[in-house]
Amino acid sequence: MSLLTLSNVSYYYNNSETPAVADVSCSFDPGKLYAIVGPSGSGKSTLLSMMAGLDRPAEGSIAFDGQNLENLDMDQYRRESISMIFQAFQLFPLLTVLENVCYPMELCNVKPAEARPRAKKLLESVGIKQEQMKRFPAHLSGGEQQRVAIARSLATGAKLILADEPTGNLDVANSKNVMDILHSLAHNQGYCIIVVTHDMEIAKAADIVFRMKDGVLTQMP
Amino acid sequence: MEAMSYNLDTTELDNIKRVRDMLVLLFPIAVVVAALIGLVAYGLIVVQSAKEAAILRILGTTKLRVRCMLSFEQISLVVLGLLLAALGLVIYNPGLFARSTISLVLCGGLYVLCCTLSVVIASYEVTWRKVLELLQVKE
Repeated sequence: MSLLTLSNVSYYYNNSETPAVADVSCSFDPGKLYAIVGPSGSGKSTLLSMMAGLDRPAEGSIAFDGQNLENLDMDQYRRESISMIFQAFQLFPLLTVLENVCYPMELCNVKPAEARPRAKKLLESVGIKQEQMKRFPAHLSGGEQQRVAIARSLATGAKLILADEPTGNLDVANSKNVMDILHSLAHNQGYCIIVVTHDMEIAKAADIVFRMKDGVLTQMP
Repeated sequence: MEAMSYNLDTTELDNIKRVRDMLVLLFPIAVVVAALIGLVAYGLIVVQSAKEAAILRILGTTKLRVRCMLSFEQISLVVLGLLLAALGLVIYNPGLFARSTISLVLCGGLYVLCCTLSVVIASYEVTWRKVLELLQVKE
Protein backbone atom coordinates (compact mmCIF):
# COMPACT_ATOMS: atom_id res chain seq x y z
CA MET A 1 0.00 0.00 0.00
CA SER A 2 1.27 3.47 -0.90
CA LEU A 3 2.30 5.76 1.91
CA LEU A 4 1.21 8.95 0.15
CA THR A 5 -1.36 9.13 -2.64
CA LEU A 6 -2.28 12.23 -4.61
CA SER A 7 -5.52 12.05 -6.60
CA ASN A 8 -6.24 14.75 -9.20
CA VAL A 9 -4.65 17.43 -7.06
CA SER A 10 -4.83 21.02 -8.33
CA TYR A 11 -3.85 24.28 -6.69
CA TYR A 12 -4.50 27.87 -7.69
CA TYR A 13 -2.88 30.93 -6.25
CA ASN A 14 -5.14 33.86 -5.38
CA ASN A 15 -6.93 35.42 -8.34
CA SER A 16 -5.14 33.18 -10.81
CA GLU A 17 -6.99 31.07 -13.35
CA THR A 18 -3.86 29.13 -14.29
CA PRO A 19 -3.19 26.31 -11.84
CA ALA A 20 0.17 26.22 -10.05
CA VAL A 21 -0.40 22.47 -9.77
CA ALA A 22 -2.63 20.90 -12.39
CA ASP A 23 -4.48 17.64 -11.90
CA VAL A 24 -1.58 15.72 -10.35
CA SER A 25 -2.10 12.05 -9.56
CA CYS A 26 0.69 9.85 -8.25
CA SER A 27 1.61 7.64 -5.32
CA PHE A 28 4.71 7.21 -3.22
CA ASP A 29 5.70 3.89 -1.66
CA PRO A 30 7.84 3.15 1.40
CA GLY A 31 11.40 2.04 0.74
CA LYS A 32 11.86 4.21 -2.34
CA LEU A 33 13.66 7.42 -3.14
CA TYR A 34 11.73 9.74 -5.43
CA ALA A 35 12.86 12.89 -7.18
CA ILE A 36 10.71 15.67 -8.55
CA VAL A 37 12.65 17.83 -10.99
CA GLY A 38 11.65 21.00 -12.72
CA PRO A 39 12.62 24.62 -13.21
CA SER A 40 11.82 27.42 -10.76
CA GLY A 41 8.15 28.30 -10.75
CA SER A 42 7.05 24.95 -12.12
CA GLY A 43 4.99 24.17 -9.01
CA LYS A 44 7.39 21.79 -7.21
CA SER A 45 7.38 23.65 -3.93
CA THR A 46 3.62 24.18 -4.02
CA LEU A 47 3.20 20.43 -4.47
CA LEU A 48 5.63 19.80 -1.60
CA SER A 49 3.73 22.29 0.55
CA MET A 50 0.49 20.37 0.00
CA MET A 51 2.20 17.04 0.73
CA ALA A 52 3.46 18.56 3.99
CA GLY A 53 -0.03 19.67 4.92
CA LEU A 54 0.90 23.34 4.79
CA ASP A 55 -1.58 24.06 1.98
CA ARG A 56 -4.80 22.36 1.01
CA PRO A 57 -5.45 21.41 -2.60
CA ALA A 58 -8.17 23.41 -4.36
CA GLU A 59 -9.27 20.23 -6.10
CA GLY A 60 -8.53 16.56 -5.56
CA SER A 61 -7.26 14.87 -2.44
CA ILE A 62 -4.11 13.69 -0.71
CA ALA A 63 -4.09 10.56 1.41
CA PHE A 64 -1.41 9.52 3.89
CA ASP A 65 -1.39 5.84 4.78
CA GLY A 66 -4.93 5.56 3.39
CA GLN A 67 -6.30 8.49 5.36
CA ASN A 68 -7.37 11.69 3.64
CA LEU A 69 -5.35 14.64 4.92
CA GLU A 70 -8.59 16.62 5.19
CA ASN A 71 -9.55 14.36 8.09
CA LEU A 72 -6.22 14.63 9.92
CA ASP A 73 -4.91 17.23 12.34
CA MET A 74 -2.29 18.92 10.15
CA ASP A 75 -0.03 19.92 13.05
CA GLN A 76 -0.02 16.38 14.38
CA TYR A 77 0.58 15.08 10.85
CA ARG A 78 3.67 17.27 10.50
CA ARG A 79 4.82 16.39 14.02
CA GLU A 80 4.53 12.64 13.75
CA SER A 81 4.10 11.46 10.18
CA ILE A 82 6.43 13.55 8.02
CA SER A 83 9.75 15.34 8.22
CA MET A 84 11.29 17.98 6.04
CA ILE A 85 14.82 18.82 4.95
CA PHE A 86 15.71 22.16 3.37
CA GLN A 87 18.39 23.68 1.20
CA ALA A 88 19.45 26.10 3.95
CA PHE A 89 19.32 23.37 6.66
CA GLN A 90 16.99 25.44 8.88
CA LEU A 91 18.46 24.41 12.22
CA PHE A 92 17.84 26.56 15.28
CA PRO A 93 21.01 28.69 15.57
CA LEU A 94 20.78 29.10 19.36
CA LEU A 95 20.38 25.40 20.08
CA THR A 96 23.28 22.97 20.02
CA VAL A 97 23.37 20.20 17.44
CA LEU A 98 22.11 17.70 20.00
CA GLU A 99 19.31 20.00 21.17
CA ASN A 100 18.24 20.57 17.56
CA VAL A 101 17.72 16.84 17.12
CA CYS A 102 16.02 16.47 20.51
CA TYR A 103 13.56 19.29 19.85
CA PRO A 104 11.10 17.46 17.53
CA MET A 105 11.01 14.59 20.02
CA GLU A 106 10.15 16.99 22.83
CA LEU A 107 7.28 18.30 20.70
CA CYS A 108 6.05 14.70 20.59
CA ASN A 109 6.26 14.53 24.41
CA VAL A 110 9.30 12.25 24.49
CA LYS A 111 11.11 12.77 27.79
CA PRO A 112 14.58 14.36 27.58
CA ALA A 113 16.14 11.31 29.27
CA GLU A 114 14.85 9.20 26.40
CA ALA A 115 15.32 11.79 23.65
CA ARG A 116 19.01 12.53 24.23
CA PRO A 117 20.39 9.00 23.76
CA ARG A 118 18.16 8.54 20.73
CA ALA A 119 19.37 11.84 19.25
CA LYS A 120 23.01 10.86 19.87
CA LYS A 121 22.46 7.56 18.11
CA LEU A 122 20.85 9.27 15.12
CA LEU A 123 23.64 11.84 14.89
CA GLU A 124 26.26 9.10 15.00
CA SER A 125 24.39 7.24 12.26
CA VAL A 126 24.81 10.22 9.92
CA GLY A 127 28.49 10.64 10.80
CA ILE A 128 28.38 13.45 13.37
CA LYS A 129 31.06 12.98 16.01
CA GLN A 130 30.43 13.13 19.75
CA GLU A 131 32.38 16.38 20.21
CA GLN A 132 30.40 18.09 17.43
CA MET A 133 27.11 17.42 19.18
CA LYS A 134 27.72 20.15 21.77
CA ARG A 135 28.53 22.76 19.14
CA PHE A 136 26.16 25.26 17.59
CA PRO A 137 25.14 24.69 13.96
CA ALA A 138 27.14 27.72 12.76
CA HIS A 139 30.32 25.95 13.86
CA LEU A 140 29.72 23.07 11.47
CA SER A 141 30.29 22.88 7.72
CA GLY A 142 27.34 22.92 5.31
CA GLY A 143 27.57 19.17 4.75
CA GLU A 144 27.60 18.52 8.50
CA GLN A 145 24.65 20.85 9.06
CA GLN A 146 22.66 19.03 6.42
CA ARG A 147 23.48 15.71 8.08
CA VAL A 148 22.24 17.15 11.38
CA ALA A 149 19.04 18.19 9.56
CA ILE A 150 18.69 14.61 8.29
CA ALA A 151 19.17 13.28 11.84
CA ARG A 152 16.48 15.71 13.03
CA SER A 153 14.14 14.47 10.31
CA LEU A 154 14.57 10.92 11.61
CA ALA A 155 14.01 11.88 15.25
CA THR A 156 10.26 11.37 15.44
CA GLY A 157 10.21 8.16 13.44
CA ALA A 158 8.24 9.71 10.58
CA LYS A 159 8.31 7.42 7.58
CA LEU A 160 7.88 10.12 4.95
CA ILE A 161 10.73 12.58 4.39
CA LEU A 162 10.24 15.56 2.10
CA ALA A 163 13.46 17.23 0.99
CA ASP A 164 13.39 20.62 -0.73
CA GLU A 165 16.65 21.09 -2.67
CA PRO A 166 18.66 19.28 0.05
CA THR A 167 21.93 19.58 -1.88
CA GLY A 168 21.44 23.13 -3.14
CA ASN A 169 23.96 24.64 -0.73
CA LEU A 170 26.51 21.83 -0.88
CA ASP A 171 29.58 21.02 -2.94
CA VAL A 172 29.72 17.91 -5.12
CA ALA A 173 31.28 15.64 -2.47
CA ASN A 174 28.83 16.65 0.26
CA SER A 175 25.89 16.42 -2.18
CA LYS A 176 26.87 12.85 -2.98
CA ASN A 177 27.26 12.07 0.72
CA VAL A 178 23.78 13.46 1.53
CA MET A 179 22.17 11.60 -1.39
CA ASP A 180 23.94 8.39 -0.30
CA ILE A 181 22.47 8.79 3.20
CA LEU A 182 18.97 9.41 1.79
CA HIS A 183 19.36 6.45 -0.57
CA SER A 184 20.42 4.22 2.31
CA LEU A 185 17.54 5.40 4.50
CA ALA A 186 15.05 4.53 1.76
CA HIS A 187 16.50 1.18 0.80
CA ASN A 188 17.76 -0.13 4.14
CA GLN A 189 15.31 1.39 6.60
CA GLY A 190 12.15 1.63 4.52
CA TYR A 191 11.69 5.40 4.50
CA CYS A 192 9.76 7.03 1.69
CA ILE A 193 11.86 9.97 0.57
CA ILE A 194 10.77 12.62 -1.89
CA VAL A 195 13.48 14.98 -3.09
CA VAL A 196 12.55 18.15 -4.93
CA THR A 197 15.40 19.47 -7.04
CA HIS A 198 16.23 21.28 -10.23
CA ASP A 199 19.48 19.30 -10.60
CA MET A 200 19.16 16.30 -12.92
CA GLU A 201 22.43 14.84 -11.61
CA ILE A 202 20.94 14.65 -8.10
CA ALA A 203 17.73 13.20 -9.48
CA LYS A 204 19.69 10.36 -11.07
CA ALA A 205 20.25 8.88 -7.59
CA ALA A 206 16.47 8.41 -7.20
CA ASP A 207 14.55 5.24 -7.95
CA ILE A 208 11.72 7.09 -9.64
CA VAL A 209 11.95 10.54 -11.20
CA PHE A 210 9.02 12.83 -11.87
CA ARG A 211 9.25 15.92 -14.01
CA MET A 212 7.19 18.96 -13.20
CA LYS A 213 6.49 21.59 -15.80
CA ASP A 214 3.84 24.32 -15.65
CA GLY A 215 2.15 22.51 -12.80
CA VAL A 216 1.91 19.18 -14.64
CA LEU A 217 3.69 16.15 -13.17
CA THR A 218 4.88 13.36 -15.43
CA GLN A 219 6.93 10.30 -14.58
CA MET A 220 10.20 10.07 -16.46
CA PRO A 221 11.22 6.77 -18.04
CA MET B 1 15.49 105.94 60.49
CA GLU B 2 16.70 104.81 57.16
CA ALA B 3 14.42 102.36 55.35
CA MET B 4 16.00 99.00 54.58
CA SER B 5 15.73 97.65 51.09
CA TYR B 6 16.25 94.04 50.08
CA ASN B 7 17.23 92.91 46.66
CA LEU B 8 16.43 89.18 46.40
CA ASP B 9 18.17 87.47 43.52
CA THR B 10 15.71 84.87 42.16
CA THR B 11 17.69 83.94 39.07
CA GLU B 12 18.62 80.51 40.39
CA LEU B 13 15.07 79.83 41.46
CA ASP B 14 13.74 80.95 38.07
CA ASN B 15 16.18 78.62 36.34
CA ILE B 16 15.02 75.69 38.45
CA LYS B 17 11.39 76.60 37.74
CA ARG B 18 12.10 76.78 34.02
CA VAL B 19 13.74 73.35 34.05
CA ARG B 20 10.85 71.95 36.07
CA ASP B 21 8.28 73.43 33.66
CA MET B 22 10.18 72.01 30.74
CA LEU B 23 10.29 68.55 32.34
CA VAL B 24 6.57 68.73 33.06
CA LEU B 25 6.00 69.60 29.40
CA LEU B 26 8.39 66.93 28.10
CA PHE B 27 7.18 64.11 30.33
CA PRO B 28 3.98 63.32 28.39
CA ILE B 29 5.90 63.64 25.11
CA ALA B 30 8.52 61.18 26.38
CA VAL B 31 5.79 58.78 27.48
CA VAL B 32 4.11 58.96 24.06
CA VAL B 33 7.44 58.45 22.24
CA ALA B 34 8.27 55.46 24.48
CA ALA B 35 4.82 54.00 23.84
CA LEU B 36 5.24 54.45 20.09
CA ILE B 37 8.65 52.79 20.20
CA GLY B 38 7.09 49.92 22.13
CA LEU B 39 4.32 49.74 19.56
CA VAL B 40 6.74 49.39 16.65
CA ALA B 41 10.07 47.97 17.84
CA TYR B 42 8.92 44.76 19.49
CA GLY B 43 6.64 43.92 16.58
CA LEU B 44 9.57 44.32 14.21
CA ILE B 45 11.67 41.98 16.35
CA VAL B 46 8.92 39.36 16.12
CA VAL B 47 8.66 39.84 12.34
CA GLN B 48 12.40 39.20 12.15
CA SER B 49 11.79 35.86 13.89
CA ALA B 50 9.57 34.74 11.00
CA LYS B 51 12.06 32.09 9.92
CA GLU B 52 12.20 30.48 13.36
CA ALA B 53 8.41 30.55 13.44
CA ALA B 54 8.34 28.78 10.07
CA ILE B 55 10.72 26.06 11.32
CA LEU B 56 8.51 25.56 14.36
CA ARG B 57 5.45 25.25 12.11
CA ILE B 58 7.25 22.69 9.92
CA LEU B 59 8.09 20.66 13.01
CA GLY B 60 4.40 20.53 13.85
CA THR B 61 4.04 23.28 16.42
CA THR B 62 0.53 24.72 16.35
CA LYS B 63 -0.01 28.32 15.24
CA LEU B 64 -1.29 29.20 18.70
CA ARG B 65 1.79 27.81 20.39
CA VAL B 66 4.13 29.62 17.98
CA ARG B 67 2.28 32.89 18.67
CA CYS B 68 2.52 32.29 22.40
CA MET B 69 6.23 31.48 22.20
CA LEU B 70 7.05 34.59 20.16
CA SER B 71 4.90 36.84 22.34
CA PHE B 72 6.09 35.43 25.65
CA GLU B 73 9.75 35.85 24.67
CA GLN B 74 9.36 39.56 23.89
CA ILE B 75 6.93 40.45 26.68
CA SER B 76 9.11 38.78 29.29
CA LEU B 77 12.09 40.82 28.01
CA VAL B 78 10.05 44.03 28.28
CA VAL B 79 8.90 43.25 31.82
CA LEU B 80 12.42 42.25 32.85
CA GLY B 81 13.76 45.54 31.44
CA LEU B 82 11.19 47.58 33.37
CA LEU B 83 11.91 45.71 36.59
CA LEU B 84 15.64 46.33 36.18
CA ALA B 85 14.97 50.05 35.54
CA ALA B 86 12.78 50.23 38.64
CA LEU B 87 15.45 48.46 40.68
CA GLY B 88 18.04 50.93 39.39
CA LEU B 89 15.86 53.85 40.49
CA VAL B 90 15.26 52.30 43.92
CA ILE B 91 18.99 51.95 44.44
CA TYR B 92 19.86 55.40 43.03
CA ASN B 93 17.11 57.45 44.66
CA PRO B 94 14.66 55.59 46.90
CA GLY B 95 12.83 58.81 47.80
CA LEU B 96 12.14 59.69 44.18
CA PHE B 97 10.96 56.14 43.54
CA ALA B 98 8.55 56.34 46.48
CA ARG B 99 7.17 59.71 45.34
CA SER B 100 6.67 58.65 41.71
CA THR B 101 5.45 55.08 42.16
CA ILE B 102 2.02 55.78 40.66
CA SER B 103 3.45 57.59 37.62
CA LEU B 104 5.98 54.80 37.09
CA VAL B 105 3.33 52.09 37.31
CA LEU B 106 1.04 53.94 34.88
CA CYS B 107 3.82 54.64 32.39
CA GLY B 108 5.22 51.11 32.68
CA GLY B 109 1.74 49.69 32.24
CA LEU B 110 1.17 51.76 29.10
CA TYR B 111 4.53 50.65 27.71
CA VAL B 112 3.82 46.96 28.41
CA LEU B 113 0.36 47.34 26.86
CA CYS B 114 1.78 48.87 23.67
CA CYS B 115 4.50 46.21 23.45
CA THR B 116 1.98 43.42 24.02
CA LEU B 117 -0.32 44.78 21.32
CA SER B 118 2.56 45.10 18.89
CA VAL B 119 3.93 41.63 19.63
CA VAL B 120 0.54 39.93 19.38
CA ILE B 121 -0.28 41.58 16.02
CA ALA B 122 3.19 40.73 14.66
CA SER B 123 2.99 37.11 15.82
CA TYR B 124 -0.36 36.74 14.03
CA GLU B 125 1.12 38.28 10.89
CA VAL B 126 4.13 35.96 11.01
CA THR B 127 2.08 32.79 11.41
CA TRP B 128 -0.25 33.69 8.52
CA ARG B 129 2.57 33.77 5.99
CA LYS B 130 3.29 30.79 3.73
CA VAL B 131 5.79 28.64 5.59
CA LEU B 132 7.79 27.31 2.65
CA GLU B 133 8.18 30.78 1.15
CA LEU B 134 9.87 31.89 4.36
CA LEU B 135 12.31 29.00 4.27
CA GLN B 136 13.21 28.94 0.61
CA VAL B 137 16.55 30.28 -0.51
CA LYS B 138 16.14 33.10 -3.02
CA GLU B 139 17.96 32.24 -6.22
